[in-house]
Amino acid sequence: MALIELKNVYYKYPGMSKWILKGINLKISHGKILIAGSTGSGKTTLLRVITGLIPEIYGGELSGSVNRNCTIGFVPQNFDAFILMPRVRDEIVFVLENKRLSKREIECKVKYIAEMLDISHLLDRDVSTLSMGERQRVAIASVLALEPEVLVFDEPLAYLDPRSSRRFIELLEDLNLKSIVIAEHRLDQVVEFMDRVIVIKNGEIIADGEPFEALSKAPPDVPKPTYVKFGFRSLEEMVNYAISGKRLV
Amino acid sequence: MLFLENVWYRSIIRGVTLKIEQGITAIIGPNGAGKTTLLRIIARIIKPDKGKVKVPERIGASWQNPYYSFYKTTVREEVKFALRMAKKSTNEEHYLKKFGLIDLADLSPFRLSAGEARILSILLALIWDPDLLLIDEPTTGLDIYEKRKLITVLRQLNKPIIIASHDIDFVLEVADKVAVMNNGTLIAYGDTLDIFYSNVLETIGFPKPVAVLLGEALGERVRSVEECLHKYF
Amino acid sequence: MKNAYISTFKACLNPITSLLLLVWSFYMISVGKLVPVGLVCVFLALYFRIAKKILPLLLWLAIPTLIVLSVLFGYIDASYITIKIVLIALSAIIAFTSPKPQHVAYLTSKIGIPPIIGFSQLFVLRLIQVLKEALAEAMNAAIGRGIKSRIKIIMLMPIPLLVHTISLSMYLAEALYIKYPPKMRTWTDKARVSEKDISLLLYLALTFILHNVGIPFY
Repeated sequence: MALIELKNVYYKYPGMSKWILKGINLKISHGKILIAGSTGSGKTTLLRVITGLIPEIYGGELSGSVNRNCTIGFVPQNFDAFILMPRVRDEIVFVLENKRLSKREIECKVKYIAEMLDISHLLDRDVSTLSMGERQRVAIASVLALEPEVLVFDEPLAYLDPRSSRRFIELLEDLNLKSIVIAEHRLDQVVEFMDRVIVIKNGEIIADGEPFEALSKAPPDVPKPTYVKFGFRSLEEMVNYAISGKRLV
Repeated sequence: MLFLENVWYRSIIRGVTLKIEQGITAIIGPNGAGKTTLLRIIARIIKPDKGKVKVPERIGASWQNPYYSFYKTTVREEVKFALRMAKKSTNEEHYLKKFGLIDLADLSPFRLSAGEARILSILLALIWDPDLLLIDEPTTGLDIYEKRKLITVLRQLNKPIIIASHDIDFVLEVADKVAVMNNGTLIAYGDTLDIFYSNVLETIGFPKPVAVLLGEALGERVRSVEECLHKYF
Repeated sequence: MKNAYISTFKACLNPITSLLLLVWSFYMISVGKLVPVGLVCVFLALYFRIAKKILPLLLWLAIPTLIVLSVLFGYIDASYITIKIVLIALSAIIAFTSPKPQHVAYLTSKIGIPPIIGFSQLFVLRLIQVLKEALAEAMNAAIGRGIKSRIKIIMLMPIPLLVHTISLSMYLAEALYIKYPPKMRTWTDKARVSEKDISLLLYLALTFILHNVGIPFY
């Protein structure tokens, strides 16, 4: 049984005449999934439907069926406003306070989550003194405290430098969740770690499957890793081809 | 043009000495290296604890979130307002056309995409004829087409520009000189190609841009994949 | 034992004490007994170590008020009114920040109000952080556009801040939806009555009685 299933979903925001999502059919059951698409393609809207923010927070007209059989955590692109408490420790504890846990259990969990995200040294700091990368890890920590089975990210690499991006991807590997869904358009570093790519354009899913297959099928205006644009499965392949090509020239 | 001598600020900037002349200079480095803080010191928004800061009188800036620079209901009004404040009588059409914003003239600036907002913000920072332009993380939220447009706009400008960015592909294409920062110190400064085709990026933990990987494999110093495109693919 | 719990401020009062403190302060101010209120609030501000943080806020409130009122009513009346306003603000801040969020949440859940109201104290602090950063960014943007006149900048600031606040409210709604799922709402911390509470309550009660009996005091 799929963890999340969308059947023939159509959606438009309140007061708009245009459908943002058209006939979305999607099953998520495992693995690391990338939702690729240019700005305005409906990526963020799709994530909002998956997590339930649509229609709960955003309203609008949603038709079709959305079935969820798991707990879902979501880290939005703007994770700064997502952090609700002034200190890092408070943020993680706030979420844990809502469960029936003893003081000791909460203390343990805070330590565990902080270590996993490498923010143990930041626990007593004010959020406003942290860099973007650190704030993102705090936002992720607060969502992990909910113990979701599926974690959804909206453009997680937006504010990260190449080094932090790499660390972020490594973190995803370590998290060991049932499934992870990421919407991104900065694809060079990410694609090789994904199990599946869903390409969305103008509110419709135009490709869904193995990363290289799905991306090469997509039209040129869809963001792709550089090597895929030129028909290669990996960066290495492209570089090797260039070297061999040069030898011939 | 700009001279920073042994500038210190708390534990964020540690003894930075930098001299910048004309052209487009990029300051690159990891998040938290001090890039934004250094720009703020240059803009005289922050006063350093120690060190000399010699910068031009008029400095324009487009900071991290371009939407904070907008006050009017349409793009056209925004440019007109900026022209009034700068006491210039030029028609706003001229600027809108030059920066490719003419089709968006009657939209609300708050409804522009990230790339369009960035270009408008840069236009507004330039209308009052500053001597230097600072841009903080211009490529955040921009897709590849918007980045291309931005590169075109920046190349056309005839002004010294300093860009703080962690987008190394973008910097490789657009910058004349690059200053590399890590942990508050300046670890390298030189021509873009010299910096990118050395191992400096490796020392700060950055992967090499795709163009550099190709370039090194081909034995040529290219700035973008498109440059190799015609020859080898 | 090391405190794993939320506490932006190290010491705290029972929420009921804080509420009584607020009521007492307003009562005392309304009958003109400003000195006890001033004493208690300043003492508590120092005790809870928030004096440094709230002083700028109080000055920001007091100085423009004093100037405007002086023009309308003359220095003496203006000073008196300003002091009252500052004391109201001060006692409200202390009453709001002295209890622990979990304690307030425990009580509110008992009377049917969602426990998250108890956390509003910290939430407001975070909001202040966010708005401070937004204001700084908006001002930097104005300077970057070559707007030199301070007055013009102040007049323009509300616009980007308002727009930002509107999108902020959506982000907050998202955050609350994700982090505060309706299914989980139980509480673990019941407030105790400590010596601090008792001594403070005694003082409040004493001053109340003395006032009503007609014995003058300060």
